[in-house]
Amino acid sequence: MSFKQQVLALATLPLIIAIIAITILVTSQSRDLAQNGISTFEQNMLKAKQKELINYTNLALSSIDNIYINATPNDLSAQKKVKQIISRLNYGTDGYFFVYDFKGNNLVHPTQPFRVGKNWIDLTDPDGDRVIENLIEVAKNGGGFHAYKWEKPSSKEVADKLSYAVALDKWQWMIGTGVYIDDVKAQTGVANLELKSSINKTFILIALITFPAVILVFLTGLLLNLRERKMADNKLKELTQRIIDTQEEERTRIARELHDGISQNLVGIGYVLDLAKRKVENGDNDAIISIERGKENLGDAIKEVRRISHDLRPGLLDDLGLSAALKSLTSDFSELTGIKVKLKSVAFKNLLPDDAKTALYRVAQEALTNIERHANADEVKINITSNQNGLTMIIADNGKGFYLNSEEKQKNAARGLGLRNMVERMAHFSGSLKVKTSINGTILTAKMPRSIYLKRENVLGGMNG
Amino acid sequence: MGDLRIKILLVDDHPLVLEGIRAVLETYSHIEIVGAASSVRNALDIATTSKPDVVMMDINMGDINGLDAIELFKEQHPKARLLMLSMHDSKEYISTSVMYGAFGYVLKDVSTNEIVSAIETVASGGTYFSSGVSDVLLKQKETQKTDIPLSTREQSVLLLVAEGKSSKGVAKILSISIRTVETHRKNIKKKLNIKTTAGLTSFAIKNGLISN
Repeated sequence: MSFKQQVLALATLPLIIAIIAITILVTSQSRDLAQNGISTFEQNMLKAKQKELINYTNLALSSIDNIYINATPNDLSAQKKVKQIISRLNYGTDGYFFVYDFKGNNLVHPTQPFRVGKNWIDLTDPDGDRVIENLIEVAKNGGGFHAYKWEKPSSKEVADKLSYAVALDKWQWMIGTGVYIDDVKAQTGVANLELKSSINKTFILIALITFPAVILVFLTGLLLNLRERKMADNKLKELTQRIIDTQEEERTRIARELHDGISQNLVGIGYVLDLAKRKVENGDNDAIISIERGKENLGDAIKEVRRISHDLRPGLLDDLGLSAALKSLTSDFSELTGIKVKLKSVAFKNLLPDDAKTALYRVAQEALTNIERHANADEVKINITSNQNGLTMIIADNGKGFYLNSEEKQKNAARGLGLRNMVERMAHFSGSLKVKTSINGTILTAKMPRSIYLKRENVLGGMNG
Repeated sequence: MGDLRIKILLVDDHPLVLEGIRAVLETYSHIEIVGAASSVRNALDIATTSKPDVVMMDINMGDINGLDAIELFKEQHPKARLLMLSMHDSKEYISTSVMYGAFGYVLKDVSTNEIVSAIETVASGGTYFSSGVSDVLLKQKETQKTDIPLSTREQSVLLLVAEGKSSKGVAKILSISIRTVETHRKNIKKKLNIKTTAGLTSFAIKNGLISN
């Protein structure tokens, strides 16, 4: 995965995960809540129905109370009266009372008259419930509810039914009535369906919000990335252009020095030697004067070449090592600027590969140039130490320090480039360059790891060519 | 003249310079050019047979650093006196040459007469530095007495000693005599102001010369 993709993933993944987590939480909680509501509703409905049944039963009981209390256990006329009263006690569309004796013989059934006079103790509902036997059982136990399936009179369909049965102990009768609770079930079923659809709605809603949000984050990331890259590209272009410019300037300068200085010098020597030749040809005695002058000029030309070559790359660095090259650099610097330089260095040489030595030398050179131009310092300390961690070069001045804000960088592009150059030079060797600046001066610390030191054989092999 | 002639070996890897100096020196009757070498190795070989009094050598040689070459000559031909011929007028070159054991240092662009008088001085046991050079050197000696770097050979000896090698072992590895190794050890201790071998080892480790 590229860095760009990582950043995008980092931005969008947590968002997606958070949204998924919230969705799951919201739906599960709303489902729990709704289901609680539905079951409470269901229970309330059932309770209401139960209460209703008890009330109806009490009504029925009180309507026969008179007859029953005064009747004897085998009072057939009283029993007949009671049967008549009860068979007439209908309520609602599907409300009626039924009566069985404890043996299971039907005595009253207004909606299913065919049952009257027959024994139904073995009757079972579609679920296998021994309906009549169970009803008689709860009645004998002091009255109670029993749920089963029974044909609904209005629709002629088998439906859930909840009945309340009580006993008329004196006559060994069970009297009961029931309500069909399929409508309760139907209502909770509808509520459940509604719940499902509302959860689906929530899902769709969240998706509708999430999807554009993720896309937005993604696009923003992409846009930022592109912008960043464009900026980096521009910076790189700028840097490259500056390097090219610097290189070109340097070349122009060297070309001018070669052409205006040494070249003219050599041409002059050519003329002088020509003159000497003519003098010798003519037998003049003062040819030697011209030759002497030619020799003198030649000496100047050699000095000039030496100077240019030294400026370009000090041979000292290759021949005598970093310490010697820095010694020469700093003493030249002191002579030129009047800024004192104290150089302290390790006793060793040839520990670093050539390119590393060059890098450190150029860093020191750049640092001194900066100090001369900007620091207003009168003393510089350069300290080079080596240990098991590698090499450290500290360049400290007692100048006024500087601040690397963007304005300064803009104003002083070359200096920014210089610092950046130093950092890159060190980074190339897995080293580092740190700058600490205050009003009491600037401390520059360049480090190189010991891993770049030359191998033992190369250190020892220095004198074997 | 016979015995009085100065036997000189010229060493320079620029053929034009070598030829030029040779041509000039041949005009001086008290100088005998016993050889001209374009590499340090070649020069060391020639010196074995021709036993020069003076070796005049360019400090920038292709195969072996001219300064290291001074040490090699001192080890193999201690009687030959080294006169360095150089394009460089940096005091570091000059002072290092002296430290390594050169008897003189002459800039390449001085007059032939000056080169000849340098050869004469060095041959007779003195030291000679080009007119510009000697001032530089005097100043140098005064200011930088404390910070004397090790020579290449000394550094190699220190590295091997720190690795636990005996003088005999060091001598074998570097192909030099045990006596030379002993001398180097003495000089190293003096330069670093360390008295014991253990001290040398810990110094080498502490300063990262060898890894621990």
